[in-house]
Amino acid sequence: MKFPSILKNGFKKSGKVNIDGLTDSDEVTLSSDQLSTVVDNDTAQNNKKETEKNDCNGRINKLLKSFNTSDLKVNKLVEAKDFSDLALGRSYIIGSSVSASVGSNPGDEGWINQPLRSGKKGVGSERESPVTIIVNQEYTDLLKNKPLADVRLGYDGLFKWILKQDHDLALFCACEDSGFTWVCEILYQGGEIISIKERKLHHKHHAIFDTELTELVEDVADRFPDFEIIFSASEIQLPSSLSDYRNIGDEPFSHASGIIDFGHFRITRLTILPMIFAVLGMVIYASLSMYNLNVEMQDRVIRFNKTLNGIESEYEKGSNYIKLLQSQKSLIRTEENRIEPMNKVRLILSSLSTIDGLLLESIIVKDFDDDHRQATVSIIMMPVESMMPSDQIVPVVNKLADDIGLEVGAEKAGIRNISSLSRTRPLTVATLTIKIPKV
Amino acid sequence: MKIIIAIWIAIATTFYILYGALDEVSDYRDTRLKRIDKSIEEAQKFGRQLKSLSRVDPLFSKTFPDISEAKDIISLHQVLRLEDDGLLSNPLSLRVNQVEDIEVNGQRTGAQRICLSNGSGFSLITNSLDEVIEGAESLLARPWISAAGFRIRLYAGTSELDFSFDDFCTVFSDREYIKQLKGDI
Repeated sequence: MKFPSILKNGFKKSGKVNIDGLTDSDEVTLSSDQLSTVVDNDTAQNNKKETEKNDCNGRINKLLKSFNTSDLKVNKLVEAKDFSDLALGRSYIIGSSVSASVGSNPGDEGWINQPLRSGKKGVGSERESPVTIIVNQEYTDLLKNKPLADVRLGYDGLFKWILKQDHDLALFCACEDSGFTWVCEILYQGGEIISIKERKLHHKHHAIFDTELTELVEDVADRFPDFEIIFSASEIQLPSSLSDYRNIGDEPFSHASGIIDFGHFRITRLTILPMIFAVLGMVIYASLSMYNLNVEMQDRVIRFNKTLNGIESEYEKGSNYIKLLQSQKSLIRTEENRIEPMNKVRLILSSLSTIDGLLLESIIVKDFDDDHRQATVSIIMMPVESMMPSDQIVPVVNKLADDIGLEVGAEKAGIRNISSLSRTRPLTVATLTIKIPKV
Repeated sequence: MKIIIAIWIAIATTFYILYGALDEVSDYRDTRLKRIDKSIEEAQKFGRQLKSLSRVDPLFSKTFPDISEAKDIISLHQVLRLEDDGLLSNPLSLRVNQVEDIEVNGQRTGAQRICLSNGSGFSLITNSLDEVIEGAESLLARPWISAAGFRIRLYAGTSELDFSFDDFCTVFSDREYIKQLKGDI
C-alpha cells in the first residue's frame, strides 16, 4: 500500500486511527503535519528491527499498518443505490452518472447540462474556455426525496484543484462503478484543461485491470512526457508499475462548489441560506421592534397613569360617569331660574297700581317653563260715558306696555254688573294678555 | 441556469414573505401604539371633562335636598318651610300627585320630582297681594321648587284673595340612589 505517498503530498485532513497498546477509548488524532512526520520516518521502515526497538517508532509503524486510506474517503455517489441510500452529509457525484468534456457541448436527452465551468485560470474564463458537465437525470431524480442532502459534483473539485496548479499535468481519477472501474483522464496544459476523457476498465480485482490502467497511463506519459501524472483514486491500489506517481486520493473533492442543476427544484443549502438569513433578520427585526414597542408602550403607560392620577375610579366608570354629571348640571340649570317671570309680574302690578280707578280682579301666569309663557290680567274700571270699553282700555294697554316694556294685548273688554259693598253696578271689565318672553 | 433561477425565486419568495411578515410586525406595533395613544387621548379628554364638571357633584347636593329629609307628608311639608316666605298651608290637606325619576336626554340624574297639591292646585294662604308676590318669588327662588304658573284672585272691596300654584313640584336628590348609580356604572 502506498498511502505514505498520499500523506507526503499534503493531504489536509487529519485521520482517526487505532493504535495497538492503547485502550478502545483512547484515540489518537494525527494532523497532516504529524502524518508528514510519520511519513518522514517511513525511511526507517528499511531498518525494521531498529525501528521496532524504539517504542515510539514501533507504535507509529503499528499505526501505519492499521491506517487505511478508506478512512479518508469522501462519500461518493456512483451507482443508483448510492443515490437512493443518500444520507444528509456531503456527497460527490462521480462515475458514469456524470460526464465532462472540454468546450460547450449540449448533453443528450436524459442528461442535465450544468452551468458552464471554467477550464482555464482567470475570471470569466468559463465563457472563453468552458468545460461542460452533464449529469444523468435518472440518478438525480433519485435525489428528489432527499431535499437537504449536500450533493456536489466530483468533477468540480477536480477542476478547481487542477486550475490551482502551475505546471502541466494529467490527472487520473478512478472509482468503482457497477462492477467495473470508471476512470477519468484530465489533461492540463498551459493553465488550461485541454482534454477530458472517461473510460470503463475492468474491476480493480480483475487480473487485467493493472495492465489496462498501466497502458492507459503510459500512453499519456509517452504522449506528454513533460506532464506530471497524478492520481485521484482513493479506492484503487495502483499497480507497482505506477507506484512512482502521486495519488492525492479524494483531496480535490473538497474544493467542489454546490452549484448543480438537478433538473427539479431542490432546496439546497444555497437556496436555504438566504431564507435562514432572512428569517434570522426577521427575528432580529421583530425582537428589536418588540423591544422598542415595549419601551414606547412603557412610556405611554406612564403617561396614561399620570393622566389618570386621582381619577382612576371615575375613569373606570367610563363615559357614563361624565354623562351623569352632565345631566345633573343640565338639571341644575333648568331648575335654577324661575324668579325671572316673578319680576315681570311685579312690574305689571306696579304699573297697574299707578292707574287711577283701576282694580285688579285676577292675574294668572301660565307656562313658567315655556317659551310662550304669558300673564293674563283681569282689570275692572269705572265706565266712561260715550266711550266703548274697548276704547277705554287703550290708554291702559299703552301705559302698561310702556312701563314694563313687553307686548300687551287686550283679549276682551266689556261691561259687566259687579256686586261690591252691597251694591251692584255695571263696570268696565277687560282681560289683558302680556307675553313674558324667556330671557 | 435553472439553479440560478431557483435560487433567485427562493430569495425573492423569502424576501416577499419576510416583507409581509415585517409589515405585519410594523402594523402590529402601530396598532398597539395607536390604541394606547387613543386611550391616553380619551383619558386626557375625560380628565378635562371631569375637571370642568368637578363642581357639579357638590352643587347638585347643595341645590337639591336629600329625599331622606322627606320621609312622609309631614316632613315633606316641613322641608318646604313655607312659613319662612310668609305663606301658609294645611299639611294634612297636602297630597302627592306624582313621583318620578328625572332624566335628561335619557340619562338618569339621580333626582326625583315629587309634585304636590292640596286642591286643584297648591293653594297658599297669605294676608296681602304684596306678601303673595314676595312669598311666591321667594319660594320659586329655590331651585328645587318649581311651578308651571300661579293664579291670584282678588275680591273687590275686600282684602281677601286666593293664591295657588299650578303643577307645584319639588326636586329631591336621592344620594343613596346616586351612590348606587355611580357604583353600577
